[in-house]
Amino acid sequence: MTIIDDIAEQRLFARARDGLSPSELDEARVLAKLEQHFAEHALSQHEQPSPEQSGSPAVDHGGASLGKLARVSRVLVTRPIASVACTVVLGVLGVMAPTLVARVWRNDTQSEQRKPAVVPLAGAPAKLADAAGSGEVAGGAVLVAEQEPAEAVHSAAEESQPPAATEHKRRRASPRCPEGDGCPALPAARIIAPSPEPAPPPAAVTSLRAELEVLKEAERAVRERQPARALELLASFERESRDGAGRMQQERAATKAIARCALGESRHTVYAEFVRAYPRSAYAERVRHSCIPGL
Amino acid sequence: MIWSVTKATPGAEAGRDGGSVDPSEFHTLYREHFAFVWRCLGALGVPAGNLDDAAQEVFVVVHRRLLEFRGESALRTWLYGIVRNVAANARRTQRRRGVHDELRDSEPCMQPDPSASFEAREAASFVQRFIAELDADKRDLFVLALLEQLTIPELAPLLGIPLNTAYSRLRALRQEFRLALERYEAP
Repeated sequence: MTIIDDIAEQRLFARARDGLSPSELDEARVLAKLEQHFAEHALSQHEQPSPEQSGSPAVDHGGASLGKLARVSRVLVTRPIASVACTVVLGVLGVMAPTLVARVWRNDTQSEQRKPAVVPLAGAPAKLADAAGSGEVAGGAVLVAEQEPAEAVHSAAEESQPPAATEHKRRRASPRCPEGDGCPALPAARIIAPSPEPAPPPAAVTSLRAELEVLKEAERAVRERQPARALELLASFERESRDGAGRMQQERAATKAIARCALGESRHTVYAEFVRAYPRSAYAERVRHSCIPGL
Repeated sequence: MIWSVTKATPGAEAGRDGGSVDPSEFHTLYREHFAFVWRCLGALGVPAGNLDDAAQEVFVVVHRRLLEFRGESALRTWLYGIVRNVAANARRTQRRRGVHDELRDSEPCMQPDPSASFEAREAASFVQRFIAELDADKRDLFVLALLEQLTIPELAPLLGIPLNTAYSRLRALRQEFRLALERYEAP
């Protein structure tokens, strides 16, 4: 094999890699699907009785981990935008840390009297920033300072330590803030549930699930040659959706485009509109195939 | 180093020691290796319409098994082992179903990204067709060594063959590829 052959071959492989590579949208879309998968998994965990309630030993660490991931991935999906906001919030939190710790200390003492169940939350600073704005999370749970991110059991002895005593440990525990680099000492987040009853699923999870159900129903309607019903379902969801847009806009747009073509709208126009709205969409080929099979 | 947090401690099995995957580390892994996973799935013949689901499945498995990874092989070859199984399942499902599904399975085995140049799409398509004709061992060698440019010492453990065997197979594979390319380019 000559050197020229080698160069030509390398060029060909480089092109093939380009041709096979995903777009940023592909990456974001799969991440959203992963988030949805983990959220649903966490939801199913949530709907099952807890080990304490059923009396069985705790064995499913993987499920708990998935739940943590689902919660964090909601933050990570919007990371590019959230990172700017988080930087600002973290700065504010750095200034407010002593006050926050004192406040949550009081809350913790009060909640201890109710013998709370403690759920450790994977300690992502961004998530803390996200949650700290309200001070409360679903089900009326209260955010409190945590001594160690990996700690699984709430220790009453540690509760009795003053907040300042745990500051050094928190500095060391944070992978994003090595000791001595001037980062503020931020408490990792932990949820203390106020009562043994399970909290209702987070609104984001339920709305995502509802959106997924609507999308599946609409796709089924298209397959059953009921495009008008598919459009009605999607329009109804968009009218009633609390956040207006939903999380799977592109999927809904693709299904709508296919339904519109099936209804006899100008196929080229529908396809062009879809591609204009989502020029790098993985669904473009699907819409094209359904609308203009011969193209 | 991505494994500083997620690597399992000796003697501890995933989950049993209370260890769990750090979400931020998992996210880093996802961002760094998503393109690799996606390309390999496409190269291994997963149809474009199923790539989303297949990639999702890969990362679900990665999440489940991450604590088992002990760094004994290169991360990308470990990932490729998962990709290979998921792709095989996807192809099997595709063959078993064998029914034309208007919404999901109608696309050719080709990336639909319109931003990719015609040459890139054509090259990808040619490579996909070539890979489809190879047997399993050659397919892995081709994807990892030629398409993804991994070194032979990196990928030999995955293939379970000695280094010299891997080198000689790679030479033969490149020759085979050149011949296929000449046939393709011949008028």
